[in-house]
Amino acid sequence: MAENLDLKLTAEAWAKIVIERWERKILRLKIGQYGNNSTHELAKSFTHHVITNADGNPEQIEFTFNYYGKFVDMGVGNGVKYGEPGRKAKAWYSKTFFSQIEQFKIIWSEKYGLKAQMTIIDTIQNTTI
Amino acid sequence: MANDTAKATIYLDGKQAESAIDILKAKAADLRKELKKAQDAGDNIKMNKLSGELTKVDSALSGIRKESFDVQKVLKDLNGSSMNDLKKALGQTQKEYNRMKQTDAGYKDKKAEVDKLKNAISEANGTMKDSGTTWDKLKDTASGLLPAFGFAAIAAGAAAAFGKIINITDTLGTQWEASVNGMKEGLNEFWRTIATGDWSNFTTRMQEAIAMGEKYIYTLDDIEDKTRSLDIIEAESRGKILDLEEKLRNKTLSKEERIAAGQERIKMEEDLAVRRTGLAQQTYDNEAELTALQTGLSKEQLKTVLSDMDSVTKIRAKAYNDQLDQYEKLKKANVTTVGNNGMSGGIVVALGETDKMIELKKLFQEAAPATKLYADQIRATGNTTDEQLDKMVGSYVKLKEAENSAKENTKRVVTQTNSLLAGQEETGEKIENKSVKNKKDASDKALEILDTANNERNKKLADQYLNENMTDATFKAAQFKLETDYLIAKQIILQKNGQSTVDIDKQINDKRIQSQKEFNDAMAKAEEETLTKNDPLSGDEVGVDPASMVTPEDIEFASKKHSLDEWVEYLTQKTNEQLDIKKKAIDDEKAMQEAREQINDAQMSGIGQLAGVMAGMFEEGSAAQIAFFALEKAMAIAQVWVNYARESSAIHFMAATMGVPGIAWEAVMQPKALINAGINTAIITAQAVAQVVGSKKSKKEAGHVVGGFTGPGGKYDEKGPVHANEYVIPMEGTQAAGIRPFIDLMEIARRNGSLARLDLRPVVQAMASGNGYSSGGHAVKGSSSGSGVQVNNQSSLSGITFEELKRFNDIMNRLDKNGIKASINKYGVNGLDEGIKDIAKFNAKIFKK
Repeated sequence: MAENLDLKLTAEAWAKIVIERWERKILRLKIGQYGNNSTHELAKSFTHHVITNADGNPEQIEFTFNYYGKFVDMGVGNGVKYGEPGRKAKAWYSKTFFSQIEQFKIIWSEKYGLKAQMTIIDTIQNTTI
Repeated sequence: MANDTAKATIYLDGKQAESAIDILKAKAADLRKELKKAQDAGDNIKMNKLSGELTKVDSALSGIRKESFDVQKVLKDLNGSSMNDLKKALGQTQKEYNRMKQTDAGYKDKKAEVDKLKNAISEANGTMKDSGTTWDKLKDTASGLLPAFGFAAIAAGAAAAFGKIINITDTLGTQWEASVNGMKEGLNEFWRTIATGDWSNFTTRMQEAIAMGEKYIYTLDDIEDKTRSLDIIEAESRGKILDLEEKLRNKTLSKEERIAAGQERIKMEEDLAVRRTGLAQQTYDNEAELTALQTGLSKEQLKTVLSDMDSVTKIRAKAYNDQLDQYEKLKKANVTTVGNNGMSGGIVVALGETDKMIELKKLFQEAAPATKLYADQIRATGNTTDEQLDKMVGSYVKLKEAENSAKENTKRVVTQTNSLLAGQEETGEKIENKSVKNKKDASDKALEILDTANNERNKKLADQYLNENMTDATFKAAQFKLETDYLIAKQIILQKNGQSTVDIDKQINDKRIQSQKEFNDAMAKAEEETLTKNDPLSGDEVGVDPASMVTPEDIEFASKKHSLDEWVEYLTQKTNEQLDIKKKAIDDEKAMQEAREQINDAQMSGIGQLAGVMAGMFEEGSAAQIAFFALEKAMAIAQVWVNYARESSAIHFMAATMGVPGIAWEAVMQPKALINAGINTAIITAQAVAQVVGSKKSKKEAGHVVGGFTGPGGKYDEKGPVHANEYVIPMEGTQAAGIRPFIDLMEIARRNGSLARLDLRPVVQAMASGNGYSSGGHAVKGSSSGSGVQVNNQSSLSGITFEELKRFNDIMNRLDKNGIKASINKYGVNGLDEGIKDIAKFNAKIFKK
């Protein structure tokens, strides 16, 4: 039963999904692809890390990637400001990320709900007369 | 930039959830104890009932646990993106299920597993609509237990709560907390019901408790929001308040503007007071409402009861509960079963109350409300009652404090505003206009620097006096100058900063008067001494001074017959003596002049440096810096002028040595006048010097229109244009020894500005008559004939009379030694001629001429 309530595993799994979605998006938007050459530097730069507290419960989920990726997402940089013509925004980051966060909220709520449920059940089971 | 790393962090606050789970866990453990207790108490009816219900619950929960496992698996597969595994698991379960018969054990469970896996696949595809299934199941299973067992109600509440959480899209925080608190209050109500045994309206009360628990958290959240907004408003208000107070202090604004600022300030404080008390009121209401729910008393009753509580209330409450237990036991014991004569299935009938019971009941009725309240609370929630009561009382105290401080603050602001409008700080200190204050501050700062610099200069002067053998007179003059300079610099600072200069003007004026007085006194004294010494009729002192003009030896020598050689020898000796005296007097005067110049240089340079240093201390481009920069420049220009004056005075000294008395007066007086002017009025000096510099510049541009030597060079070297009405002396003339004295004479007159007044006709006439200039006459109009000696120093002494020589000698002595100063002070600017007349009178008296 313990593994079912492992919040860290859930967070890890979700983080992997996020990165996978980003990678898909990057490929689809052909970011980092110059002609026939692909460096995939941005896609390669993704890492994630789940930070837990002393009880083993996750407190933070961190993602890292090459900073220039944010410029690509917004279509800025090289002297072009946000909203100005000149560079086309390739929105790989924000939309994907925040839609996944919404999913995560749902998963997380249910996870805690289940944890509460299991706690009560365990206790009540011990009270069987 | 490409190598930099971006970081996205998600913060997961699971602490609230964890703590809520802990509470549930504790409550469940309590439930276990209660059941155990009921078992120990031998309440078989209740026990049987509970036991049966618990079995059902246990069965239902076991099913749920299994289902939960499947949900976990689904979630795990989802998180791992293993949709194939999920489908595989469903296929396997489905096979097992298909092989089973309906009569087999676990058939239903297997069916449920299949359903769950299907749901999980559905969830994995992004549809979360069935996610509440687990809890719905729990609710359905437990709903039948509601009237009998509180946990089912809690579970139902929890299911509803978690259902809400599952559907949230905004935040986990508040809704989660509210739901948990709803559950907590539901549990509390459950424990209250178990303790009191009052199951009437249990469901309604349970729902109310859950609703209240949720509402409590939302209200707390609302209070937090309002607190934050109040914080922002207060923070912004502080800036606005400062602006308004600044306006109130600013006397340059119109009265209407200041009054409007005052009104706004008061209104702002009133608004803030309303917000502060409103927030405190809401906090109190929230706490009071929850406490009222827990105690079953109204808010007003609660307040009354709490105000009557004292330290023995808890002891009394415990006694009250003991008595209550006693009463319950008596009541329980006081029953009998009728019908079938003791066989089971008879009717239970309560007998009448015993005396003890009646006594106890009376005690309950007489108990103080506070005791009753606390006793109820102990029964309901154990010993944790104080926490909520303390919260309520604490919020009440804060409310009252907020109300009181609101009144006090508003009153203080009104007083302060009125005071500021009246032109006074609260402390009674008068408000100064800001710009005036700034100027005064700048002035004070500059004066402080000036004082420091002045102290340094005084110290330096004192050192010089002690270590460099400075004479008292020189020290006194330098000290006087220092004081004057200091006062003038102070005056400039005050003027530039718009401060009153009345005092400083008076001090400067006093200083000048004092200076003039001292000078006059000194001159009068010198004149008196001179006249006394030189007046042969004044008695014993005649002839005592070796520098006096007519000595007893002279008279004795003159009263006898002498040969020409003897006369020549005697006069040569006398002349040499006089020349020595004259030379010494000139040297002394020169030394004095140099000393004055040195002091002046030091002071001028000192003021300039001081101004420069001070200018550096002020902000770049500030008015003060510009002012001191101007002062520095003015001093630099003044220095030029003084140098120029000094140059002029050198010429005048030359003239004096050549016996041109009209120039000699200027030689003594002009430098002093120039130096004083240069030091005392820097600005005027600057303007004047600008003119001087300008005139010098124009001279340069105009070639030699002002005359003078063209400088060395060849005969045909051009040195500028020649203008109309000029006369040019060719090189042969300037180099001829016979003509040179005339050129020198004219050059001297040109340099000191007396060229137009120079009259050489007597000289020419004398030369034409063959007598030369040695016979006397005036070289300069209105002056003595002294200069004739210099002009015609080649002439022979033969033929001169004793009287002529004597007269010449006297005049020379008198003029060179004392005559000039005495004349100036006694007769003013035109005193020279008068002085000469005096000399003539002396001559007449002495020589009976």
